[in-house]
Amino acid sequence: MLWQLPHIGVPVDTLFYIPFGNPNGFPVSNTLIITWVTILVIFAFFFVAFRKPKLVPRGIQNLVEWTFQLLLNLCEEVAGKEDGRRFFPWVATIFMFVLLANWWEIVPGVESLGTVEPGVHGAQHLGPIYFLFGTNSNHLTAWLRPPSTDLNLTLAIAIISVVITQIYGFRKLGAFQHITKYLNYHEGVMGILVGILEFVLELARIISFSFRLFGNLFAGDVLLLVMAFLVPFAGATAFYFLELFVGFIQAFVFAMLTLVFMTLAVTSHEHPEEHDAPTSGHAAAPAHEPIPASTAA
Amino acid sequence: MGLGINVWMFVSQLVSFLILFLVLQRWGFPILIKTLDNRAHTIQEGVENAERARKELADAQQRIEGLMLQARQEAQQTLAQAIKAGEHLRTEIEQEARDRARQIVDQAEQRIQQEVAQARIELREQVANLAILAAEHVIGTNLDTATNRRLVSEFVAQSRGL
Repeated sequence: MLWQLPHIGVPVDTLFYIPFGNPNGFPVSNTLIITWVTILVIFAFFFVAFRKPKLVPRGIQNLVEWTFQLLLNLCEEVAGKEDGRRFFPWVATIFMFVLLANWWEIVPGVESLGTVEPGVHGAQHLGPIYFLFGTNSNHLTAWLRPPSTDLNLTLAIAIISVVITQIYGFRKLGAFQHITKYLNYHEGVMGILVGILEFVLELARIISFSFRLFGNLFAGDVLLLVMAFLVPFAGATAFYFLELFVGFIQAFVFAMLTLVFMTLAVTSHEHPEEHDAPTSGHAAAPAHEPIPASTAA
Repeated sequence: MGLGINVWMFVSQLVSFLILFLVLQRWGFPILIKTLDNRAHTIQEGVENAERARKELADAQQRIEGLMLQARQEAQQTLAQAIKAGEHLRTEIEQEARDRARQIVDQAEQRIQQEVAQARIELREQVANLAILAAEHVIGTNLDTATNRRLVSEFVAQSRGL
């Protein structure tokens, strides 16, 4: 037997503990390592791209600029020029990070390289390093696991997204007007009910954000493992392209929903015409209309 | 927990993401935005310069066409003046030449008339002399007196009308 279907669990595996804070130590999971690697990869992209930025971009600079120019234009079109530029760092960071975090699942070695600990799920000790191969492969504790398959990460980003959305709402509309979204006593019972629904909606956003990303990526992860088990070597190949697409779509959806919710949060529900209309930014930002050669390409 | 939610893991992921954001917010995005804005500004400036150059070129062409038209008109005017001056000069020269020729002819006629008159006088004298000589031969005496000469001259003068 090449390998057995690995033990697939929702909880991530703790690889080791750093003696810090917690009496038992600070747990380092197999997803946290990839999270750090992802962050380093993003830093490396920026460093290589903008170490010596050129007027006519090439290579990595071209790729990074093209990606972020599209995101910046999108932010300005949706939220207006001023708010779009304010939201852009959050939207861009979420998109870039989630995209790379999603795409880790098709990288060779991720979830196929790890350790089989004796006694865990009845496994025998086979040594410090073990590949997804052989009869004990279903007991593999992967060293690396895509961060997006960790609910802790998706929940963290979801909470950040919702909290930042609320902060922008408070800053733009003021505390009173923003709170009246949820305590809408001006319009009677119906207003109060709508306010309660708005509040529930904010909480539901955290759940929908986190579980949408987690569910899609975890399902894709399981799909790849099952296909690799059913049709070894070649079975998962076709699904790699699907997972690339799903990873992109999920990152885009996460970033766009964050942008839309931020835009809604800074739009007054009492006098929406007083605030920056979403399309006004597009009209007011002709400077970004001429896309550089990179974007035109 | 069945879903694997762990406070420490959650916090570590949260902090990791926030570190990423803060670093990008502090160092990454300002450079990115500045680069994009600079490029957009450069492109905008280039487009404006091109538009300005196009307008200047159109103005210059218009100015050149105006100058060409003016030069053409001036050239035509100068040519017309030159033709007129040449015509005038030609007329003057012709007139002068004609006057000069007439003057020469008049002078020549006058000289001819003088010479004719002189020749007539000389001829008259010679005719008188010949007549006297002839008469002397006929009558055999000397007729060279003042009275005879006067008579012969009067005869010759009268005979001119014959």
